[in-house]
Amino acid sequence: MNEFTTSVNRIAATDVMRCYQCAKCSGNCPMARDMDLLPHQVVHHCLMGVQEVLDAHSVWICDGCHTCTERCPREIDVAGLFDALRQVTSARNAPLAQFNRSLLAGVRRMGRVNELPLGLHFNLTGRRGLLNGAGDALRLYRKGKLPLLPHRSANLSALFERVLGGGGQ
Amino acid sequence: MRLAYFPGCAAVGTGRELNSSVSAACAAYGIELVDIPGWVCCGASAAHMTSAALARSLPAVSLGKARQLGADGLLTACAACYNRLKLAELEIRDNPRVRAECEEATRAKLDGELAIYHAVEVFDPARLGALLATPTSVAPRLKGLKVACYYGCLLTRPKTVSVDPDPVNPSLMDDLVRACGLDTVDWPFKTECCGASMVLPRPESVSRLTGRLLDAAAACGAEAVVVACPLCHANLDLKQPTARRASANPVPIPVLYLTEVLALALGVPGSKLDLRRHTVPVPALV
Repeated sequence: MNEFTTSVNRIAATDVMRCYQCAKCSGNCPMARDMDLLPHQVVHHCLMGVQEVLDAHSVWICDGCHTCTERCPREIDVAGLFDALRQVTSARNAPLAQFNRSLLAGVRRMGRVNELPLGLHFNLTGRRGLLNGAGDALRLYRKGKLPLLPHRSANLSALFERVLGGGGQ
Repeated sequence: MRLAYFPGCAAVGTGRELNSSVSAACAAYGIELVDIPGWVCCGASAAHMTSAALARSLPAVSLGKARQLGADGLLTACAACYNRLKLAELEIRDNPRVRAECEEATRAKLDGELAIYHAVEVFDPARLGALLATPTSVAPRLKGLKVACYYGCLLTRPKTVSVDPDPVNPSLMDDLVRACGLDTVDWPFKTECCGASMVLPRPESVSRLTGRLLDAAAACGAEAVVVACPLCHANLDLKQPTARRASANPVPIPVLYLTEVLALALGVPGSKLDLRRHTVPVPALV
């Protein structure tokens, strides 16, 4: 088996070589219509060792609903495979990748997700414009559901460094 | 039953109705909740897309703190927190290498086992039925209300952590809701995805997925949707006006938490819950 296939299999703790391309994963995927490569094509790229799959938009379109994994007749963890691809790819400009960085930056500093700073961080670093989502934010605020003062529990910088290494996010 | 309570970030922010209804329902039912001092975010869903080790270590912090409380287990009412906490707990329990890695990351002992429960698991329909048989001020307008129970993705997938023995057609919430005197509709979207945490990165996808859920619930005759996750609630309730823009005749559908239904049925007055904080009003029930 080629190096790329071995590597994604190990990270996802699954075996993409079992795939017989029935495309049930793609048929069940709620995000399929937004994808450039359908889930079964992503699996096929992985088993053929085509590393360019790491640049596919699909990697960051999957929203992790796990329907593909649950329904795969060959018991391949397709959702786990998408997580593995997101963990190793260097293509990190997609909105979801930026959102994840914003979320983890807050968790690292505060130990909690705080929606207002998260939204602002995402809008600024993701070049979304400051007012992106402002309508929802205002409705939440009016209902008393958008705390202006952040919740804190612990600074988790030390844990993040131990787990991700000095170069981690 | 005495349970360590993990509210999760959403339940102390944009989903605070959930938090008040969990406290009220547990108190009325006789479950004692103990706070976990210093609990931290479970990492959903950014951590597992970033690093498998981080995805285990963040839940491990709270799993370690909960262990010290000597409770009968850990309770959360968020499907995403439940999923990440339970997956991490099972890995820590079953894999000594993972346990050592998490103990090193969190600098805490993770020995023994901690039972992880979602709120849908700790109420028993038979006991509820018995409790309700005694004449209380059961919210009269709840009786016979037709609701669609929405389980979403993370209560039943992956099936190793499913709260229901049938991850394809779960009935746990339906049983509880019926025990409270409501009617449930049969509908095919119980475990379809609402778009989860895509609400900021891809709002148009969330609108599409949420819109088709709500349209299906309406088409099947549901007067309300019952959920058990603050992320599902935000998508179905807060995003409902946007999500149903394309629908022909979008009658607003109130979205209730299961724990709100349980609390109301157990006699907690609507004024004690945060029902007024919902986007789609629930006046008929208050």
